[in-house]
Amino acid sequence: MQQKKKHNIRFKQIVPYIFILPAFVVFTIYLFIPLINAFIMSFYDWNIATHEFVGLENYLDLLHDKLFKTTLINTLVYTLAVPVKVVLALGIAALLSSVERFQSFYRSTLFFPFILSGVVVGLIWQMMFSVDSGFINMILSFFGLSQKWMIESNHAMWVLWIVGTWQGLGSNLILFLAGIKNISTELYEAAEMDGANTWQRFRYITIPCLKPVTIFVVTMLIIGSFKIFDLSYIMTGGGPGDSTRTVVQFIYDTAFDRFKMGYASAAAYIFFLILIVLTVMQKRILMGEED
Amino acid sequence: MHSVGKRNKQIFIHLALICCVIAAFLPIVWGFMCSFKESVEMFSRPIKFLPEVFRFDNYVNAWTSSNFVHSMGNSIIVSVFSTLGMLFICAFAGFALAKYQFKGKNVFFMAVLATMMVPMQVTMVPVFGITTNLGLIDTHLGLILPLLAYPYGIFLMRQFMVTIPDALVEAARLEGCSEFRVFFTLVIPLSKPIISTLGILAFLDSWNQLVWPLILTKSSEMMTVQLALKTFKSEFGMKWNLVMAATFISIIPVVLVFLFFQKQIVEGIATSGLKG
Repeated sequence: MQQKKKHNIRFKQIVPYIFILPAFVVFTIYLFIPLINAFIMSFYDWNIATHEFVGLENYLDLLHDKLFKTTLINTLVYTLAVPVKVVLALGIAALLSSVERFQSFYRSTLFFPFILSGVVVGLIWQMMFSVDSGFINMILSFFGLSQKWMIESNHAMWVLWIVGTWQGLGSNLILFLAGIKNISTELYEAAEMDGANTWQRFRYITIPCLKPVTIFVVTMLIIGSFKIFDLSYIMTGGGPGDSTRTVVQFIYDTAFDRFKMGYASAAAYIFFLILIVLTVMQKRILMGEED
Repeated sequence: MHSVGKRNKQIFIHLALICCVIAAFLPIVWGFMCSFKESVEMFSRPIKFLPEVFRFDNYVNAWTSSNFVHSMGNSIIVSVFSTLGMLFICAFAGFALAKYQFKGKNVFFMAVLATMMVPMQVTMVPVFGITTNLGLIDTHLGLILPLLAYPYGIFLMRQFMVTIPDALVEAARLEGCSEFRVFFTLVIPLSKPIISTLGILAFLDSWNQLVWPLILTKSSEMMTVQLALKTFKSEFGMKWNLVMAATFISIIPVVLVFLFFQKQIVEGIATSGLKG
């Protein structure tokens, strides 16, 4: 009897480990070890044939790598669309919250593009911008204009901006909408009694109350923009020239086209570092305004 | 007077919103129309919005073309099993973190929190190496396993299960339930909201994956549907009507999930900020 109890207690101590075991195994193999491995590899000249320790050489080479610089700049330029995305999502959320009927219809339809994959969205929009059979050129041709959208480098980034904004609107809209619904109606009623007009109520109640949501949305948008790959890979493949080649594509090409795994890992760690710095900066700037 | 102004305002807002809806759906409808057009129609001038006749040939051709059916099957296998596996792993771990005290608990939870921020681009090179060493390149399992390590899943499960009262768990134990019965008959049913939200979003995410299949598969038999679409584009060159037909076949599962679970998707994003 006593032995059984002892056995039971020991078993109880093991139970949590049994529950955690699958996660522990998978996370170790696919997350913790790769994270460390990538760091180690970034100090190696790691190709199919050779694994040679080179110290900081990969990082130093990256600083002088023109293509890496170009992809960093392209990615930053793509990120410039973030303010537009935020303003659009916030504006439409405000309109949506003030509508009495069909609200859920609008919400679902505006959200829909978000569930499509980068590949699908890229292909559909390539049809829109297609030179010979695209919708955009169909409209432009009414005015006797036509545009080689994805072939000319100064337009390619515009295309990515438009498409990225179109696809990402839904989720941000929902976050803002949920935020607006959490604002107490008493605030608005009090402001209306004091004679505040619609714009003033939006400016002095809605926007300040949405600050936490806005911080979250902006941070996620910046991180998301920095990770852009699927869209540009499908639509432009990085071209024309290298005008839409992004950092992630640089990492991918370096590792899996040129098989320079160590060099790619160093680039990935720089990419990671930039993401961390951006996130921290973001939070500081937006939180700092409060004091 | 006041109410007339209010009504005009409502009408204006509705008009603005309808414009947004049109902008959201126009590209999709345009692509859909093109999927019914004939090849020559694609290049006819002036460009027309509607196809002359709604032809389903493109759909038949896309469906029967090399490996498309295969790729749909691969995507279904990978998405279903990676979603189920991830849910199991995260629910188990979340339960342990929420309801037990054990050595190493905090270290593990901290590690999970720390890796939540790590983008897959950092780990993808070593994961390729590990998959190669395990001999899992070009297999379903090789595609499924990386999707199981989802730190945010554990975090959300833990946060949810912490809110389940200890008294409930304790009562079930006193009634003689084993720890596993407590988990399966009490905790899992109570956690349905988070499990369904997480499951739906994970399914969409794995269906839409491009990078993992791109890295971890080699043969055309193992392509997922996203990869198949990508190769379609280069194979069929200018036959955009076929590419569009394939595209619209590929989104059927996603659209079905959206139609049935819209509420959970929207609430999941609003409350947990998943994939913001």
